[in-house]
Amino acid sequence: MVSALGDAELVTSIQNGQTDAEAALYEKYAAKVYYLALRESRLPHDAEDVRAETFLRVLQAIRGKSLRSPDALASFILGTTRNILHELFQRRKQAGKTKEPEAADLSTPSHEEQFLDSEVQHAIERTIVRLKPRERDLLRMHFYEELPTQEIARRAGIAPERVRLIKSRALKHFREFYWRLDRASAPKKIDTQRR
Amino acid sequence: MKYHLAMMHPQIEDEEIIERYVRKQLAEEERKAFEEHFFGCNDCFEKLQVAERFVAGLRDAARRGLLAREVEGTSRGSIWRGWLVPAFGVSVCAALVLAAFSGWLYFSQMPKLREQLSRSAEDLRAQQAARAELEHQMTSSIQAEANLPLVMLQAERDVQTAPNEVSIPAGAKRLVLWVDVPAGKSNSFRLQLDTADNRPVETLDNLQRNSYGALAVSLPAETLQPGDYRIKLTVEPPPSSLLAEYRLRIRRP
Repeated sequence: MVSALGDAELVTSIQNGQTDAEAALYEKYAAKVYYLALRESRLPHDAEDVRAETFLRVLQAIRGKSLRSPDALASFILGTTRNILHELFQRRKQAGKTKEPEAADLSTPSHEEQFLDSEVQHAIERTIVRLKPRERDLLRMHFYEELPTQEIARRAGIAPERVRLIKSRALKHFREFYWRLDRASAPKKIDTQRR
Repeated sequence: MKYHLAMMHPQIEDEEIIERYVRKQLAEEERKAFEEHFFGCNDCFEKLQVAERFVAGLRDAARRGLLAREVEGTSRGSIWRGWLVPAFGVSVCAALVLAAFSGWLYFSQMPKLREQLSRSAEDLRAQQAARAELEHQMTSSIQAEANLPLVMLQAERDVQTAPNEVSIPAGAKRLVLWVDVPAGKSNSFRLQLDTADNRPVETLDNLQRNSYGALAVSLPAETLQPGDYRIKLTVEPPPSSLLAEYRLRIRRP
């Protein structure tokens, strides 16, 4: 199974002309490249372009045997992604658009929205129902109002460690609910992995 | 490979790296180190995806008002906070006050109350005994009595004269003294009963002659123990003068 190969073996197989090894490489890293590209560029079509360009350059480097260390393939792919994102931001700047994601216009879709679908909403609602009112307050202050943990603990009258515990418990419940829903609709994939 | 494992799992866990990465709160070096890590670590990338969905879902819920304190469908909490907690608190306080009062009453006042009750019971028993005695005496006084002992006193003339004797049978309650009074102008007399050694036993005033010209006196039999007694009859009012003196010997079978 090519998909079970390690990075060094994948590089060797690609260099030996095995096309299924190229597919396995894409399968292994495409979601990560797309996620990072979407997080930084905030636009799905730019993220798709970044992903396509990244794999094109990576495969060229592998085929041309310009990859110095096959064991560092993951780092090489990450570095390539960052370079292409940098080029994207340069183009945006030249075109008069904002460069940095943090400075993007509010109307620009956040990558966060790409993670929000009906299953996530449903799992979150089920999680919230299980929370105490004070715990809902705490999560709102932390994730929505972006208050520091110390301030949240002070307002809630609890220890900061307790804040972390409540977050962790809520995340655990969410994960369980979401996985059940995700299994029930197995063929559907989150848009962060679209090709 | 060593680059993306530079950030190790314990650090990621302890420093909440994944959540902080999602919330874009990592410093640039930390961010780059974590990206190096999750590019080579499928587990952390999977956790990162879940955390992204979790944070996105929570922020969406906050915007929709689902993270407000009063969320529709969770009114149980608001009712609990609204009035049940204060009511419960008041009830608990009342119970504590009642318990404290009961404790104070039990440990402080109960011994005193028990002592008072004990004294009252003793008083009641004493009163009941006195009442029973009185009733017994009243019953004795109103009941007819047969074979009443009686002695007709003869004044002593000298020392050799034999004393008046009377035998008081068992069960007799009274002893009747019959005293013939010498003729005279006086109509009121006093009779004093002493033991032989001059200890007073009984004194009766305002004695009047009866139709026989004698004095009739009833004495409680129980005060008369077997032995010799002296009876002095004097005239009233004072200055009294000794009218006669008698000797009486009580015998009991």
